[in-house]
Amino acid sequence: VRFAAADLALTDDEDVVARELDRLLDEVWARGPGAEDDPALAQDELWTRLRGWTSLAERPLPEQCVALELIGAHLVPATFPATVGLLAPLLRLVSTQLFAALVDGRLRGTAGVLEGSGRSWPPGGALLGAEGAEVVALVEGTTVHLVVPGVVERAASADLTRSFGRVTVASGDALEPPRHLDEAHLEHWLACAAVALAADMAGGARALCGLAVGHAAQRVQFGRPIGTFQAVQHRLVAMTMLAQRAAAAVQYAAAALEAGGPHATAAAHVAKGVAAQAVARCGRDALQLHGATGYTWDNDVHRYLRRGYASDAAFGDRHWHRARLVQRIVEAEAHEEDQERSARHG
Amino acid sequence: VRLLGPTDAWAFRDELRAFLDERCPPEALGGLGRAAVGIPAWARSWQAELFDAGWLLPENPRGLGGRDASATELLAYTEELAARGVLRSVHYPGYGIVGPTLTEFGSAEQHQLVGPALRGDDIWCVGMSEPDAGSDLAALRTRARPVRDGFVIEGQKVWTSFAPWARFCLCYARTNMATPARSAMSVFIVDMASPGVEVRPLRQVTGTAEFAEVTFDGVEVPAAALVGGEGEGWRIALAALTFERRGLWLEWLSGLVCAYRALLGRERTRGWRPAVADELAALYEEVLSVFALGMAGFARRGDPGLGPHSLLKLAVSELAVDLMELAVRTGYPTSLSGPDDDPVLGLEALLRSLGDTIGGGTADMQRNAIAARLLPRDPTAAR
Repeated sequence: VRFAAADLALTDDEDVVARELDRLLDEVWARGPGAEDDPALAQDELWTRLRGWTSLAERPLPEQCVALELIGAHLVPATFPATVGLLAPLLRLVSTQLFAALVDGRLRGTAGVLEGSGRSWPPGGALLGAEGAEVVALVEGTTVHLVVPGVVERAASADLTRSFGRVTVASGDALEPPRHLDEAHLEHWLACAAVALAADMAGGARALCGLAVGHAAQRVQFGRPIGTFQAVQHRLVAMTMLAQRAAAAVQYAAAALEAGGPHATAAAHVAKGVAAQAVARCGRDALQLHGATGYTWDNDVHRYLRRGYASDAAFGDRHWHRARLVQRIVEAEAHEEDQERSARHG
Repeated sequence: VRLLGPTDAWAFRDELRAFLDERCPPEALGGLGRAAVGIPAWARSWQAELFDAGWLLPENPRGLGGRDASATELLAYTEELAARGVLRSVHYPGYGIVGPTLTEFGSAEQHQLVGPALRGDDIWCVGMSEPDAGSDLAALRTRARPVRDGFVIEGQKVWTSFAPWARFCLCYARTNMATPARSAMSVFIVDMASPGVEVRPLRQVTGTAEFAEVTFDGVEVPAAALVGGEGEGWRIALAALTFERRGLWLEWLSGLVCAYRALLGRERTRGWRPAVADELAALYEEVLSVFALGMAGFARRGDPGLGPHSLLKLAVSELAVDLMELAVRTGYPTSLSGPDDDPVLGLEALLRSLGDTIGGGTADMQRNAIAARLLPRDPTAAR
């Protein structure tokens, strides 16, 4: 295994994305109560404001992850993260034309892996962001089907902020002929998708820390803000630690995938696992710090928590990634052993 | 945000690799398991050699153990040290705390002490903790009474690392008993050979005695021994703790990575056990994410506050204990057999990692410092 140094300071471009997108989302995505009742409608309105940002898909992965982290922190509906985080890295590998349309903001959609191709997710076959998709990329083994979705049926989901849909594909819906994807490209796409979802979860974890810190600073009990109690402070620190580690792991994995090499997939497994743990733990802790207020429907804590659970399940839950990580480590160590042996005999 | 590639800082890296290949003593390799007792001769000459070659603190100017390294070069330096588990020094206070503290707050005359402190020619100890002032530094009672030519110091320090070998002590004392310590504390350079200084080594959980009880019984120091001004002690203490934590996590991160690699290698050599492999993968998630947190910490290295450095010190020191526990309980019999323990992955290294969660401020005090950053104006988070 390798620990390569990384420069995790934001570049000027990344900094611009972070500030501009944050400002835009503050301005156009002030979610009112009930917004989750019709995410499809909400995302149609929002999509017109966000479609200009799909050009991020041809930017380096760390820059994309800066944006996807904000998308998670702002609880943005499915279309944008599915288009940029899941579909774009696949189209980039198999269709120059469709990828160009996506980058221009003329194409939105999603991607998933068909059941029976050895990877049983998305669970139950429901695709993140299928509603409103203009193209759906379905991976079956090493074949990619590029289809115009026929009927899309809303799937029940824990996630209130992003819709999932089941797509019925009829013959004749193919947009382009099926493409073959070699194993290395397939791995790369899966790693990109995992890191995109990890960025969303890291954003959720950060937002939960913000909610908790804000509440602890203003909620007065026993005659003082609860944030002055050490037990509360240490819980906030534990949350902050997890959220910052998740954010760093995501940026590191994005940088590693951008640079390429066998080490990158391991970093992606780590990012997905660490971010899933962070958002789940931060959700529980934020709920605890809010007390009963945190258990009300109007409070956003459960939205982040639900979204986190759904992201954990999508594109390999943390156990799937952990199992793959074990394989990677054993392979890397076997490689090391070979090298040691040839060094001894050579 | 990007991974450093082979072309980044390549000349710097080439030179460093060649230097380490040729000069690094075998005792200085091996991650967290600093099995050295006291300050052995190899460690002294290795630190001096690193200093002279500009490889001890590459970000420093030439002549002060560095070579004006850029941010990218510093990242490459960390990666190389982590890959080999290179230990730069076995006594931290001189180059980690005293050097930067005197650089920032010392007089022109005191600046002369910086070079020898960094190079390790002078061994330093830091006199902060007292029997009734551990985490609560403001409760310290050691007193510096002004006299005609200077001060007379009276009091007791405890858990003072490297005091048995130290030539100097950076000593925190009250110059005013009436006002609160935050405005009444001052810092002095005390020659440990002065009449009235007594050092009684304290045996640690490792069985050796690297820290000590130090009493100052009417110890006279000249006026020139005062660092900064009278009453500047609290401000200096906060800066010194920041230097300390900043340096510690950097040092331990490379040890952590190296120990993790050694642990993987050991399990592979003995044959993979599925349950252990799973735990090692879980630990890999932790080590890589803390390593990434460290890389992010570099990006904020100039940050003057304690918060980010405390977060990293906490993350690295606690993870090191997790790692060492896993190493010991998956490493029977060579991890628990006593003197023949594996120096990198044995009990000795585990016990030392426990010490690292206390030294430089306990884990809970780190949490207080981090919380003070999250929620400003909290009176309980002084240190």
